[in-house]
Amino acid sequence: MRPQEARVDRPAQPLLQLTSAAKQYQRGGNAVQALLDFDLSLHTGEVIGLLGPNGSGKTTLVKILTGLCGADRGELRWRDGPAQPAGQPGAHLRELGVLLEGRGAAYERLTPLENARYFCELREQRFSAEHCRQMARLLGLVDLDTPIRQLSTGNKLRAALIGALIHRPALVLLDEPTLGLDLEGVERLHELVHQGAAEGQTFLIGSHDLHFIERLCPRIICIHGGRKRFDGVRASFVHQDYRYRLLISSQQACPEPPDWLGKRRWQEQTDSWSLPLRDPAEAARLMAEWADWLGSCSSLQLRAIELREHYLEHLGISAAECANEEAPSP
Amino acid sequence: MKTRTPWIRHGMNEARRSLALARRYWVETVLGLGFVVSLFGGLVFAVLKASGQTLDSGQADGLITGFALWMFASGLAHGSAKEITEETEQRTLEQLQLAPLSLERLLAVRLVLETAMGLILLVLTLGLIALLTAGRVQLSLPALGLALMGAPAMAGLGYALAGLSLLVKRGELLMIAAYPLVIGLVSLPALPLSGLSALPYALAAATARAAAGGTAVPVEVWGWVALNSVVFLALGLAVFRACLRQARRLGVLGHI
Repeated sequence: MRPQEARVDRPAQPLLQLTSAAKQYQRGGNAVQALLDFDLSLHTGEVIGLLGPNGSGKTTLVKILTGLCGADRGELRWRDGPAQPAGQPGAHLRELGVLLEGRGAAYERLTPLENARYFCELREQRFSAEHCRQMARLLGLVDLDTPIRQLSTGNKLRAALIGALIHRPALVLLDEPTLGLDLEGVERLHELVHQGAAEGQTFLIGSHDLHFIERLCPRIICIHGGRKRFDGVRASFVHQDYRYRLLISSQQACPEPPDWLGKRRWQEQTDSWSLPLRDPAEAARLMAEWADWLGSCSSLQLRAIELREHYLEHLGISAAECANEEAPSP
Repeated sequence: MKTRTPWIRHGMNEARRSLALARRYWVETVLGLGFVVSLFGGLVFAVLKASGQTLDSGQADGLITGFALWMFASGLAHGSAKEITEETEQRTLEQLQLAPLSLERLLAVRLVLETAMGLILLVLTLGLIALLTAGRVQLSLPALGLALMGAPAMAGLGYALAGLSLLVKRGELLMIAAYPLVIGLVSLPALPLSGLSALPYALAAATARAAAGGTAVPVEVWGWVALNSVVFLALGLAVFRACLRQARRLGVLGHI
């Protein structure tokens, strides 16, 4: 099945192009397909949200892009350079900034300033204390001179973010960057990404925080079972044919939906039945027609369809399936 | 803009990091040195007490020199594996992997810095030994040269341990297991040349002990020590690279 593609206007030359990447792990004697025939093109200045349930292949994708995990198949091309086997270290690593699995990678006994300097020099870039302070101000990290071990969880992550981005990478891969951040931290991260993108940095952000991704990312990629399920603009991702859901619990059989609802049918939920509705006018009309029957129902609820439900629809899985997902991560 | 070669840039970067840690946690640094000195003193005292000898008899001279060499060799053998284990625990190994300088070269930079420190300690210890033994065990340049020339062999062993630490979850157990191995290699009677001389660092350590006692070192022995170093460094690097490839293939780099 081809993933749903929505048109995105991009410059011709991609910053990074991954083609037909595949990765299989052996876990407990079983083969787990973590990534399969995965194509990805990232362009300068893009902010892309990477969505997928646990074990869907998000982290494997990031690890392959960073050369931390070798791919079984596939090629990676950086700027106009030659194609190289996916998942191998290469020249592109110099221009990458990475935060993995929401954890702050930093030396806890060094201060944020010392860490930033170390990681900047490690990438063979000239360290600027002023740039470091500027990033700290933007992220709301006040204390740059206390060892990281003495900082709060959120500030540790802020310090790690500075360490990961201090060398002004062209491509920033953030895997679960909001874990451990308070609301203010999330807002500031939002600002940091906006500012970076305006300066030409590309961001690929993997997260379970749907609203963070929805607000921040003009382009969204959905991944499930190692395959791409959606790759397109946000407007296309959040476009919903049906914005409301009528939820009913009743001892009596549900009446047939009227003809003007088209092909829509009742959907069975746990202990209830649901019917998707387009808008308030449609809901009001239906409730007026079914007023007597609705009045006899044991429970009735009319609610907006959440982004989460739409996301699950893109993944082709139900909420129950999502909760039971236990695919191992690499 | 002043440009520096990558090696110098990374060397300075690592030195800055180590100095910052040593300065901030100077109590730990001093305690670490104190521990090594007391271990050394305690061991010498215990051996002399158990054998009913005195330091003046000269019976414990070889052991004392061997201890100094073991300290130096142990740092080389465990340095890289310790780095891998610590970086994994701090979750920084993945970031090191993204550096333009490869992991094995980065470890080499750190090892050179640690070896420089180890060498200073070795000189101080041998000087102390010369004092304690009233000049019977000398602070000899040949002994220092042999210890240094044999160092790549131990570094090779260290690379092999570091490679295995990338694949196993409890890298520190590997290091503990390697302690008696290093003691054995340093104390083997590998001089005159025998099958034991082919083991990593064994010939260098045996010859250094002899040189410290005033024995002249034949020229060919220097050659064998150099060959031993080259072979075991190459082997260690090959094991490290194979383990790194396997860790990357399995996707377990940096996993705790």
